[in-house]
Amino acid sequence: MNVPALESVFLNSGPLPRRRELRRVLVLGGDATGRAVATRLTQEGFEVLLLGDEPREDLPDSVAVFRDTVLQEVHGFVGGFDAHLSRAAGCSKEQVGFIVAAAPPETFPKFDRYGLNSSERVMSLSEVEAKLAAEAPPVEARGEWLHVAFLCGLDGGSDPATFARVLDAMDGLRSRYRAQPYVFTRQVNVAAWGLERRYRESREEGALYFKFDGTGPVFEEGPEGVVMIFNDPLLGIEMELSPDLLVVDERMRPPASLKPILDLIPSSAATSPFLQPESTRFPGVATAKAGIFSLGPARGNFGPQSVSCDVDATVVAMKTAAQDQIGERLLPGPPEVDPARCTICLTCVRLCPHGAMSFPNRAEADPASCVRCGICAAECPAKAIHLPPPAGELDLDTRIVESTPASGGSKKIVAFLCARSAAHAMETAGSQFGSNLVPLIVPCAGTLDLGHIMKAFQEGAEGVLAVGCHPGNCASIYGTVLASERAARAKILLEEARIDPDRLVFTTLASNTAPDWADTTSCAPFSPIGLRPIRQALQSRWRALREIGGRGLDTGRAG
Amino acid sequence: MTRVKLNELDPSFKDRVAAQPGGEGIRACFACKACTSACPIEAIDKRYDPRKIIRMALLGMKKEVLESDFIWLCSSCYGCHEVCPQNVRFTEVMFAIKNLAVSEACVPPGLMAQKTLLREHGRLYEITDFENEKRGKLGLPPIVEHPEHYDELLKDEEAAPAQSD
Repeated sequence: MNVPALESVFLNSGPLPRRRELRRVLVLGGDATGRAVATRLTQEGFEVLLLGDEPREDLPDSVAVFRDTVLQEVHGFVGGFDAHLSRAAGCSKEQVGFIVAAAPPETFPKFDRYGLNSSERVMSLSEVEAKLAAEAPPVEARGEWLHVAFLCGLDGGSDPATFARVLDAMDGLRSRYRAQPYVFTRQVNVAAWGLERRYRESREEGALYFKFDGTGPVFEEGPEGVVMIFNDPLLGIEMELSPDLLVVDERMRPPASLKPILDLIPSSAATSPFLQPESTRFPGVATAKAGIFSLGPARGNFGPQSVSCDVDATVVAMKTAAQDQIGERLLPGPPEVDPARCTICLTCVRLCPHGAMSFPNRAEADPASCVRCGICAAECPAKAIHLPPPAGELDLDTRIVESTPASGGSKKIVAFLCARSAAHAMETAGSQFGSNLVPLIVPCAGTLDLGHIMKAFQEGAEGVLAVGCHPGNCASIYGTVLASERAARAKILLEEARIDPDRLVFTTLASNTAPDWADTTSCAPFSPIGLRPIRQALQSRWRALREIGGRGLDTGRAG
Repeated sequence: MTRVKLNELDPSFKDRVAAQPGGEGIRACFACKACTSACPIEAIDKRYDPRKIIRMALLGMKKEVLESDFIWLCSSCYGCHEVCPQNVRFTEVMFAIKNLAVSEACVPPGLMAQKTLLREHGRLYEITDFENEKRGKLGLPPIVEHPEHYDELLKDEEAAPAQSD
């Protein structure tokens, strides 16, 4: 996992806002999307600052446009972001309540990924688009047909935005040539407005698709240019194509202008090229950090309808936040940092996926940005962070102690369940796991640390089940990944303690997979007859060892 | 099979199939294989694989499709038609392909013999005195052949052969 460099964290984490300003918005990116959202927000009574070089023709007068301006750095939290702007005339600091990223990603062609060189007949998608826009024919046809090969995510990365551009370029070429398009891909991603329909239309207009699972095409340099050699995935026959035009797709990365924003959200390295992950937990314009939104091309939505929906969603989200006076009445509170224990290592600041940790001179969570995933508390090496439980509930350690046999409980297996996924799956499945298991619901699998797992065993649990969301579906981006890494470490500790590591199971579930829940809880280590009490298992093992005189010390396992 | 050179195939072949009545749906195929799974012929003769036939036609492998014998194996059960999620209507596509094959004089000899039988007898099995005598002994009326309608039908086809472009 990549985390931003330490310097940028020092620069970007600012003090908590004393008073939240919820009517002032900084919009980054002055193209059509930026102008549309700036206009709408102005109409809704927000004060808008727009950073962009486009002309201001159709903008309301009250929008403050910053031209030839660079966003140097930002820190702060929703309702209190400090944006440092620099331009030829000098620097200025603006305080805004929200930030909207509307700048589209930068693209660069994947020539290197395919081992291709740019040439007369091998062009990037952008080059072809530029030529078509300038009404300049990209190539000379060599025969009756123009054979055009598009590479689209052949290196494994497929996204709807690039596919839409491929279809646009295909249409452009077909209007000028008698063209036979071929699309070489691994998977066509049509998850955008109207793309499924356009995919079908492209086939009906004659485009041919080659979808590879295994080995893709080999590119050879022939006298007539590049020759592609491959096995047709459907017919299993070897084929070759000498494209008159080979169009190479492009990968995206966030524009340099958004770097200060990326630095503000520690999880952004895991969600690149966009500010929010491609996940059902992030269906809209919100990013992992409260108060920062990303819309239109900046989040991979290029079609006009999608952009217009994103503009609406941004306005609604901002109005709701402003009306709620966000952060003023949040219960229960965010994690508490014990200043006596905190060693100022900044692990929490670097790892909080939501950029909710502030570090002016001591670590402190912003209540309006914190989602209470508990990752900071679990990762804190000094155990200085405590996540207060919701009102009327006990904290996790107490719940572990109370539920396990050492305290007189009858349940043998402790199940830590993510509230967003596994808890729902269990609820839907009903009580199919029998009476042997005690579910402990946690806000995110990322809450779970090594200590919780070992404590459950220490308190007499015969087995521990930990269930998070599927990777890529975690609302805290990498909570489930961190939990799986900790479970792997816990297994090593169990092994050292001569306890069968299979007594700990980490798995992932989605909230709608109740049947999987039933499978998980009936798997071998947890079947009621499959488990012997650890103490008994250890005792019988020692007896056996005594009998054989201590031989084979490292072979057996308890359980 | 030797390496197929896409540049030497005929990209207009799929358009010709689509221009035939019934062939319109061929280009909508997204190769899900539902047709192949539903096909009773494919279950016993792997050469007849609807998905592969569509693929060959789309790629422009005109010669390989029209001159093959397997395109004549379709039993017209419409199983593929029922399951297709893209409404390719493959049974109709097969008729279109077979019509193109006929127009290119790619017809298996057995089929031509059947055509002659139809024209001469109005049925694929010639009725002789032998059959009618047997029917008489069982108290059944004799069968009278009416080839005239078929003669007319097939004559028309010869007078105006399928357009070949």
